[in-house]
Amino acid sequence: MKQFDGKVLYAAIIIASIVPVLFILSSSIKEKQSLTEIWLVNYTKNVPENQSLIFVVGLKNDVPKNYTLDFFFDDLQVGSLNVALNGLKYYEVEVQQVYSGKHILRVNAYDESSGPFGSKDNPYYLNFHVDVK
Amino acid sequence: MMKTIDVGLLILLVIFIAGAFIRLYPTILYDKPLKYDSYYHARVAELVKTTGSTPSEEPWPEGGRPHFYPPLYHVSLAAISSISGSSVLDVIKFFLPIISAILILAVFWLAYSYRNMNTALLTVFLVAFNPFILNASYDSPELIGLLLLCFSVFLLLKERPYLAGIFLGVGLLFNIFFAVITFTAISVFLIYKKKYSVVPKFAAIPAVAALLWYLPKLGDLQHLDFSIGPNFVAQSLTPWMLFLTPAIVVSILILIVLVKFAPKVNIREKLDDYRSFWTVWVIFFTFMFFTFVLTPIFYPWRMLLYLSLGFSFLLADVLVNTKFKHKLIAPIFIAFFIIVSVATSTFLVTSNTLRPPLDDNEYLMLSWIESQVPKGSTILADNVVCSNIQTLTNKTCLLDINFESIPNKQSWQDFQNFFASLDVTRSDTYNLFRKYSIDYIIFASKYTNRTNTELFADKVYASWVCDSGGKNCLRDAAAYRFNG
Repeated sequence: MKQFDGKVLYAAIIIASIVPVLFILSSSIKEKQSLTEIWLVNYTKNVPENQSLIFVVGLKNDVPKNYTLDFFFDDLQVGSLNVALNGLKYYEVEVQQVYSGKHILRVNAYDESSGPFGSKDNPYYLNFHVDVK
Repeated sequence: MMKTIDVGLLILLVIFIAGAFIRLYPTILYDKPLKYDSYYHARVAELVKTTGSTPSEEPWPEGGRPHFYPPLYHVSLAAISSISGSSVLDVIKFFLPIISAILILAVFWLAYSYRNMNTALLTVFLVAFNPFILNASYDSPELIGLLLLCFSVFLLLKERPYLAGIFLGVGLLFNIFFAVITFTAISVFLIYKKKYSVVPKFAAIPAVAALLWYLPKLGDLQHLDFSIGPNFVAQSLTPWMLFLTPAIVVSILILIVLVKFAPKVNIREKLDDYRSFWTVWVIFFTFMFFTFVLTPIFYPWRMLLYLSLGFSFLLADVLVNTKFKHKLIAPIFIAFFIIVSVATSTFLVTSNTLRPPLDDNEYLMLSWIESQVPKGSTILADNVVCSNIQTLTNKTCLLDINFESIPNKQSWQDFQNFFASLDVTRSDTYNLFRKYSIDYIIFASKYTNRTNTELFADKVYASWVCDSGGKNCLRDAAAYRFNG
């Protein structure tokens, strides 16, 4: 009967200790990603009937990217912008002569070439409620 | 003899450097601490640093919640932060990985104290590249407990139970779970060896430590809860435990066969408590792991850390100190376990499994919360996002990570159910907003069950992350403000 040979153990351990270090060092460093954010800057929640409604959104990203912004008052599109975004920008939309009732404002941000999220069929968006009296 | 030791120490140095590297690499890669528990510990350590004492209560929207977590980890973080001038968040990134690297040396010392160089080197290798120990090297002071355990086991096997108890007692003041489960395993070993009188001697110092910490908190013990956390965590971890079960069963069976039937060499009977100890340890933690089949109440997923540590000690001992009928059997076994250890630990480090708990766009959202959400607002997010909000933005949030202290179980469960269920109705959502006066609900990217929230809340913020080409983007993280 044989006892385990230490030389084999030493060789295996040295190789096995060095391999993961080399593998990690040669593997790609964390992949660069692009980040984008959109937020509601300002809007009036309660609006008198037949007045104009202005709402402002901020859009910011860290690498240049093209977006389309579509603005809606309920189902009615009230604005559309094609933006080449590089950094921070604010976008303002005016909805004229709003009629009474509870309404939803919505802004969609999308890029035709994106997917599965951020495309025209599945856009990023904000939405908020207004009460027109 | 000297030559063997010199070569052995050189190989130990190689293992230590490689083990330290794979522990520190993930934490250097990111600017934030890895793993979600780190954010809870950082918050408490910051409190200790700011106030100069361990808090009796943690800040909480519903009037504070009792602080049960043993003090030494947070005190250590606060002290190192104060002395070094580094932030607590920076200290917590490196503290446990460094402890985990030191553990490699302590394991070598323990194994070499009771066996030979080959056994010690194989043990230390299996620990250095142990995926469960690697995975636990970033967020749990149980790692400090494992380091102290090496000294405790050394002294226990030298029949110095009081001194062994001191190390367990100190470990208790770092992490209570470590102390309770380790004490239980060691007691089983002592009872198995019929050393009944050693149990109370070993228990004396840990018992005093437990009394000193918990006696002043007796009045708050009704808030101590061990049901919500395990059930919550088990929902995500049970599939992993099932996945690991076949590998664990096969590994343990092989080990038992070797321990039981293979003839030993190089082991003086007088010192053979070493193998008995690790055999009992492995059997105990295998049993405790499989309690997940019945209940998650014993935190079965945490047993893998202890099981894999004992497995490393026992496997190395058996493989090196056994006479095999064929000379290739031991090398084949060793090669197999080395390949598995290296492959799994390399996968862990390179696959981004070890990373901060939130994605970059979610951390971007936290910056928005910091600057745009008014202080004093009532914010609801899931446990992980809430914990990050409280640590990184100085705002309060209705959930948290530390599941063992829950002052209002009903609200805690209401909030967790809201995020866990895909069937939350419109009225459920509305009632949740009104009942708890919630101003903001924050969704991490992974949540799809947001639609009913939009009926009562304005979606005022969204952030998303795309690959470098900008084509493949993920679902947005979003903030909703109640408009009722």
